[in-house]
Amino acid sequence: MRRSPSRTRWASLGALGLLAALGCSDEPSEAPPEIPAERIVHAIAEEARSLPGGPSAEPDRPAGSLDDVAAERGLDYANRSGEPHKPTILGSNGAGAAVLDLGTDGDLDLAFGQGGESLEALMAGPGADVEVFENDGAARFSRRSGPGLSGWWTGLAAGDVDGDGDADLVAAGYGNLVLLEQDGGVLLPREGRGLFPSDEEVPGARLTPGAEREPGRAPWWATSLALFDGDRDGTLDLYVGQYLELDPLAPPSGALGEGALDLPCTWKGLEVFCGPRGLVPQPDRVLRGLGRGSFEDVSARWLPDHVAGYALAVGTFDADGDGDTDLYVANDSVPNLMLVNQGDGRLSDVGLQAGVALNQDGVAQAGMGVAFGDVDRDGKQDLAVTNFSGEPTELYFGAEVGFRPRTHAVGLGQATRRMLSWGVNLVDLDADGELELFTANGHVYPQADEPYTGTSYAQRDGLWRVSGDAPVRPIELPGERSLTSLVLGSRGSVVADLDGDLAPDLVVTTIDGPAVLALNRLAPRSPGGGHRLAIRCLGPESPAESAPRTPADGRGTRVILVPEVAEGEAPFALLGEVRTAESYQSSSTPWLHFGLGRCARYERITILWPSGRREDLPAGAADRRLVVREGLGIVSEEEP
Amino acid sequence: MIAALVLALLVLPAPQAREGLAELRELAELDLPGTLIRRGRELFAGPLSASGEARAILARALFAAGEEDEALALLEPADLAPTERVWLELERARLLIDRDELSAAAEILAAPKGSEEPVRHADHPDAWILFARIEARAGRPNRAAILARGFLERAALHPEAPVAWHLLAQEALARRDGETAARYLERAAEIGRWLELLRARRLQVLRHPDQPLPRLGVGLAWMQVGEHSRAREAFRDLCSRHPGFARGWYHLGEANRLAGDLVRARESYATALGLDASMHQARFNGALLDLLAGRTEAARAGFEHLADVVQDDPLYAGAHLHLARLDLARGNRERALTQYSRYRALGGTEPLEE
Repeated sequence: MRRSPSRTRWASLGALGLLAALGCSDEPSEAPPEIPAERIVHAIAEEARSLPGGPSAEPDRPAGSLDDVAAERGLDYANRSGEPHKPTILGSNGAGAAVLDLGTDGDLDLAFGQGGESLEALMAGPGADVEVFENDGAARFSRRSGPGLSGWWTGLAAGDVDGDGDADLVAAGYGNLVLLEQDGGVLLPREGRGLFPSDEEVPGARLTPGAEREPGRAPWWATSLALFDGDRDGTLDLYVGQYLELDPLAPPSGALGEGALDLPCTWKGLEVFCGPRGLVPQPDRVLRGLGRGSFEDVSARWLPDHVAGYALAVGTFDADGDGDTDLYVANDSVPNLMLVNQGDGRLSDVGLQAGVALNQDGVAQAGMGVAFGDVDRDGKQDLAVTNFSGEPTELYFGAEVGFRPRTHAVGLGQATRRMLSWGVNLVDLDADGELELFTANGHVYPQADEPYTGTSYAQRDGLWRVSGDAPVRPIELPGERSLTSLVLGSRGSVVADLDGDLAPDLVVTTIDGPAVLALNRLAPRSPGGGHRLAIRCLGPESPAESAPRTPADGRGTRVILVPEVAEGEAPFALLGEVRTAESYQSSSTPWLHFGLGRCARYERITILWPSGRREDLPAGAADRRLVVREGLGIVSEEEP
Repeated sequence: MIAALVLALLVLPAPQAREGLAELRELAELDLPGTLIRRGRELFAGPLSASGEARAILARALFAAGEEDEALALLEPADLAPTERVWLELERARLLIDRDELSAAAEILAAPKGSEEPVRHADHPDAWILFARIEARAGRPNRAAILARGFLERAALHPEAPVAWHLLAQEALARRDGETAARYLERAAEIGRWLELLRARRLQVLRHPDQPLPRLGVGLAWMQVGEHSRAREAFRDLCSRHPGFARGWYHLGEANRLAGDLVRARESYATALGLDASMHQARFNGALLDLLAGRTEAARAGFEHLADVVQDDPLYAGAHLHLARLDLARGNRERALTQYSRYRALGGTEPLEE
């Protein structure tokens, strides 16, 4: 472009090329707007003293237990995530877990991602396999052969990908993404079906342990996955959250940049591994399911204008209540995404407008995990987002338009800001009709144990009562094996009823350590309380001829349950949505677990299927498992 | 009069205290809590014992480091001058906000009945933004926006300026004005990027204290936001440490020029040219200053040099224009037209005759 000179034009030397890089214009900065003449000075001063919020209440110490019984129940999975001093960011993220029914025997089995001893060991090969544990129905586990993979596996997603009535598994990794189809109760790798590009298509995207590799090419690093039916055609699609460019042959160390303008990789003045900031984020991908386990990459069509953002967690929920599935993506260090479905799978980010992209100060946090649930029981989905230390777990309540941040108003800022939290779940553990908030905690930096960091490498997991606008209340359970006593480096978390007692249990992965299996033995909060109902929603036996259709595994179905309250008690309704993608790199149960408190019966159940069909089920008794198939109503009813 | 002077001298911090405070501020801004706490304790026991701001900075670092009780104890009303005690109150409000104790924080910040401004200590920008954050957390975006505006009027480049713009955006969103909200969010992001850049440059200075480029980057960052005095300070520091670094002198010239000190600007350009005769920007701008000061022969020499050495570079097409005008003023129309045609050929559009 020709530069136009003029008499008054002064020559300027962009010595460091900073202005262009920053994208700042030469235009004068916008001045702050005028304070309106009618400002409400006195009102502010007067009413400030009636603000909500305050410190968290005294801990609640309920009866019962939530103890780790992994070792005695045969769950001997132990994560490996590189060297203990964590020289690269790959070793800090750990692996997730998934529940799925292998062999369709009615109980939920477990699968875990797995890393390796070091980046060098991964390059030398062989890599790790996904690890699989079979449940005998009473939460006693035995290790089964894995699918025979070789890699560094991060996130998992379970769902009926091929629509054959059983659950399959998608495994994400550093340099790979694999579909494991279930066949006769066994997970079998199915490659070459549009999930991941070949070496010819995108050189270097795949990392094959033990194989020669060209330097300077970073593998595609998938973290969390979400199976959802974006276009409501009844076939599951896949959202792939991707992290960052990390060249396994030359991982950054000590500093980023060169010469006098390099920047040390430090945190609070301590030397730590480099990233994510300063490393190049990888864009997320959306893969449209074509049926029978095949996919096509529709990122350009379904995710236009996407800005890559170090995705760590992906969750699905119907954010706007319009019946299709929307997504929330927790990004590390850059704004989170609230992807609203246009009804046909195209996703538009409205995170900033909806008030869930940044914290209340407008600062992008290090999003690690996400969970959904109707915390305030107003019929709208709320969400919790976990973050780095120094950043609280955020709580947003669904509002008429967008979301209302409630973190600080309910004291969750004070309660969580010293924790670095990953996995997160909103689940009614004690069946009192209100959701509890669970966070899986542990720092990324071993250096967190140095003085003056305000946090620590190993941390206790967090469990709180959240009840509408009331201050959150920490739950503390006695005993050295209790989930709230263990000091761990937790990462992923999964909710599922593993011992068949209707009570949702928790499985938590840790970094470089064994998994936690916390069986839920919490006592009812009040006499006559603790009633539960578990509902499984399945698509119709024969799919409808035309879309919209409900997927075979019922994903995306919304359920409204109205408990039958005693006379004089306030009625309430509970909202559930069939999903498995939440928390961090993990995949929870497709069953909906409702706590009914002292209500031994329900008045009605309304089911809103993704196909658009609505079914109302008549009153019935609680404390059982219901399987509901679209168009057929309850097809199975079973007491534990 | 004398008593007032003595009082003023007493209130003025000693150089040691001033330097110590600047050091603590920098350590806080760069998030180096270990060094800050160690150094802060030393200084607090010595030259900064009477500084409320130093106590506040140290308390904030201790709080972030998990030493909440010690932090809050530091902020108890101390035997300090009233002007210093304000820092303690503001910091206490900040820490209470971090603890979600919004009512208690608001109690500190809310102005007494009948006050002209909504905040106590309205001269301190921090009071405005802290109160704005409280209102935002309480779900009152309109009030938060009023306070955020008050803050931006007082401290447009404060590290919390992006917060203020974000709060304005939230208020715009609450009244469904998406266009305004988007503009404010972009402004928040823009200042955020700038603050991040400045922080990066300062970290680079700490990492490479003997290298000129990071210090040059600090000065340029200030220039970018029109803070020419701060930029001049940074470039002066750079040039005193690296007197042979021509780019430093050129940018010092620029900062001087933009700050209105044309004499020093000309000197700085001359020094830059003395170190690097190929620094055409310095020669061009120096010649322009000569022209403005009526030193036409010096200006002509500069422009002639450029017209000769970089005759085809459109950036310096102005040299041909000014030579043309100087020739015209001398009555040499033919020569003026030749120069002017070169100027036009390089894309110039201004008329020959002013």
